[in-house]
Amino acid sequence: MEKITIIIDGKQVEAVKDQPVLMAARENGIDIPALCHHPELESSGGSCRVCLVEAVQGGRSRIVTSCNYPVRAGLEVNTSTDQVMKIRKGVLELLLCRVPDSEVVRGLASKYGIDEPRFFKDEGENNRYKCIACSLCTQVCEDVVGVSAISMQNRGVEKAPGTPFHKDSQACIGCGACAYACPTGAISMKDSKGVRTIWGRKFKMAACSVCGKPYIPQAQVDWIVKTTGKDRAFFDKCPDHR
Amino acid sequence: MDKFSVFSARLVDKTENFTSGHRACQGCAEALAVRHVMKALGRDTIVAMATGCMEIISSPLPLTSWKVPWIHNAFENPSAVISGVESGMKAMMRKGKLPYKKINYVAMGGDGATADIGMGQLSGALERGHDFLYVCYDNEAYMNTGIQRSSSTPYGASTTTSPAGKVSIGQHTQKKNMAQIAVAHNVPYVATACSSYPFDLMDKVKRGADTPGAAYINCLSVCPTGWRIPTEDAIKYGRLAVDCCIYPLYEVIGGQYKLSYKPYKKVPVTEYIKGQGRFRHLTDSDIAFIQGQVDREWEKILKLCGEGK
Repeated sequence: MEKITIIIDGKQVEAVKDQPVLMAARENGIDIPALCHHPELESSGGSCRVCLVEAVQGGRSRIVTSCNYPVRAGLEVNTSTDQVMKIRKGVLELLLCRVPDSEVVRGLASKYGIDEPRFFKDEGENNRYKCIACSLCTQVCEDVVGVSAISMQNRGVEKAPGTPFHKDSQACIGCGACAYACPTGAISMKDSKGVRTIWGRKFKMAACSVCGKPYIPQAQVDWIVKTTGKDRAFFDKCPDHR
Repeated sequence: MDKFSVFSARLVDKTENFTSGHRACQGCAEALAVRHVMKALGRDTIVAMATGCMEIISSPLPLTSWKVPWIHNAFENPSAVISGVESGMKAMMRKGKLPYKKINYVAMGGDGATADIGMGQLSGALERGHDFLYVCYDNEAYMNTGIQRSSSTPYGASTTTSPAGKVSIGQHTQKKNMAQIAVAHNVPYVATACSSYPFDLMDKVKRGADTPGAAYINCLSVCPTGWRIPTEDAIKYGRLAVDCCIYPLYEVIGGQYKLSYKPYKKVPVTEYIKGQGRFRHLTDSDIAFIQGQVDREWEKILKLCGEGK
């Protein structure tokens, strides 16, 4: 935890060495927009390109993604120069072409004065729902949950998360962490009548023994019992009745 | 967000804007609610807080639990003060004296400050349409000064100023429905939340703060001291209040009602009432009377949310 002083937008701020510039800026009240970065996931970031800033170090300036650019001594960061704003606007406009249905991207773009993209809008068959291919979902699945049921598939414009060969994944436990982590709300998860549908697979939900409410997928209980050694009886009751 | 039960809780922001070390009673669910509200709001927030438990416990000179600009107010005026703060900041930003930035203006108060003393100011601020969020931490009496009744105290509850005895049933009037009063102001966002449903509470606070214009959130905050329940049961009683439909969770977005949580199985109010010391004098016929009222209110809410029969 080595504290060093860097300059962000002409303001001297204290930051921890090797901490992402984005976090240092946000801790000091300088807002940089970002979609694919999650503070609780170390490996996240670097793919949505919304958080681009100008980093000046040793007399050399370049545009970097602030979510994974480390804080080092003598660093000077500018978050809203004309060049940065122009690039950020361009990135948002392209994102909006890709996911015109996403409220999050639309809201962010309209903040920067973009209501309709000038380019071709990705619609119909090519519409990859609201996915911007940031891979937060696959990282959550691997790092937080630990099952790696989904992964990024294909390359280029077809890149999207999914289960292997788009078949029902036997590794998936139906926890829904991916749907929660998704910044644009692209992953659909539906609970109805004791069955949860996610990634095209149906999960039977375990019901609470007191109120009868189905509250957790059976597969998730099995996984938690297997990995943590917790008593299975703990999951007989829902959080309301423990 | 409540349905993302286990793993997602690990992804909630870990920075605390309402820090530990304050002087709340053991098991205080109101302090918990404040903590979750501040987590949801983030650091770009200005808070005006009315006198009450939370003000007393969080700011004993020279200490403070708050990591954001925080203004202490008298009982009646957090909404008036935050109106001024919002207008002032808006003017400063327009004149270029401050850089433009989205700031959450939040007024907070207990049920006494909201439903009794600050009612007029709150009504005025909601009507003027300032861009602010009012969060009422409703623990159903003036707990800070030693459990005096407020207009938010439910029927039948025994407090020091509405004691139960041979002649009196305790509080003999009904709980004031603040959420409905806020809805009647035609504000863009009104919601009811509960400290026992933290994800739901955080979602609602975020939505309320993002809504342009005034927003009101009524948060039921269980008070083990005042409700005379064991301190470890604070969360349980919040959940029971929602499960037995005494305190329904819903949102009103632009006049449209939406039910946030429908109990899978409706619990009889006896479950909620029997363990609480403030209700221990109630007879079976009193409880049956309360059950009838709860059922009527619940049907009304269901109908408004479009889920009634």
